[in-house]
Amino acid sequence: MKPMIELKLSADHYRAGEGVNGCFRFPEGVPADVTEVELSLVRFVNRSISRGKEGAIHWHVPAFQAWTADEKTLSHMLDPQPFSLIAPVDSRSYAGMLFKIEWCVRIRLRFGPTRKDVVKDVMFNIIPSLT
Amino acid sequence: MSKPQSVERKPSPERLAFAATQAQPRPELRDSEMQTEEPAKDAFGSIDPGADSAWTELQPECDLPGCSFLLYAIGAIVWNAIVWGGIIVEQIRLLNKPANLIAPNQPRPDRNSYEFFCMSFGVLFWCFFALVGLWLTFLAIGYGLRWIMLRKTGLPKVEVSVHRFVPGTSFRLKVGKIARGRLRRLRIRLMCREYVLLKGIESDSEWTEEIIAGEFSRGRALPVETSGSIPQLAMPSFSVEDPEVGSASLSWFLVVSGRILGVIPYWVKYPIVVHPVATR
Repeated sequence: MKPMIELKLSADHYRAGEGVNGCFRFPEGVPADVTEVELSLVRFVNRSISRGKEGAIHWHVPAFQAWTADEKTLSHMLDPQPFSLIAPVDSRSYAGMLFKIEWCVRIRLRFGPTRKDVVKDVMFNIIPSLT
Repeated sequence: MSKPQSVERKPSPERLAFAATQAQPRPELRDSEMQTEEPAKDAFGSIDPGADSAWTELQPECDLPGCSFLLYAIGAIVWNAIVWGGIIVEQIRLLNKPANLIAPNQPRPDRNSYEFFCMSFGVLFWCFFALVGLWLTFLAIGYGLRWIMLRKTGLPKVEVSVHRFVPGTSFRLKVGKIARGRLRRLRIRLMCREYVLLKGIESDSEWTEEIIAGEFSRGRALPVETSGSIPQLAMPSFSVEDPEVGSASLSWFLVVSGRILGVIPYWVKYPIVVHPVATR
């Protein structure tokens, strides 16, 4: 059975250069055979669905954080575990005619001897910093 | 029984992507299209460049209508030769009379017959390829005329009062005269162009969309001095590429367009780079 993950962000809009804050927890507790918990800020560039079929063109990870059994950081994880990932200063969401730029916080839980993965994404928007 | 420790510990895609990000220095979009920031010299004819303002000259987009003309001309010649050669060979094969390419004495087949259907299908088949040939010919003629026209009229000198564009930037703009002829129905517009290329197994697909973001001058005569701005919420210039999947980009440019002698369409694009606000 796959472990459950709760991932919450403090807002659904952030400004470029600000911290994307939130927390995550495992309602059923951290599984005993977890080897890694990875948290990342992901930018997707996708083809807009308005013109033809949708398709991923590019993805990019500007911020990343991990708690691993090897580094013994897993045991220090809180319940819930707060986090703050900094969005790059030149980042922003975009919905154009041909492509769109979308952002999400992704948590990946790797567990078991074969390292099965459970992934959860929470989408949010980055609005540009104004002068 | 649990598997031994020798199970391969493959890093997650996010970890790999982040490591790649850290390993590579972030590519900075440069104002490579702009010339040095020296103040404009007195080369602008009747317009006073201003005593203490430094103007930046924009370089026109490397459109090369001459290259396009040659490409389309060669394409049209080859295509038309193949298609019309095919039509002639087909006629010869059908009639088996090389001297008579049209069969004046053959009875017309019945409209409901299989032969009539085949003949109609053949005509439609060749019509499609002949129309493509015609389209290529028109493009070649169009690019050829544009090439000749640009060589005759020259390009206007475009200068802006800023050296770096960010969303919300206000700037002054000077567009000089063209060397020959008079440009009527002048329009100076700010445009952004989205481009997407998706790589396929057999062929690539690409799309381009141009959006007008502002118009600074309309109907006046060159030389023109006007002011404009980049919209406050505009998306900065952007470009990503995945060698296996494709690429997406958003680019900005100023377009000077009009009609030579009031008839022949004329347009020149001047690329600019719009930087994100926070990196200023």
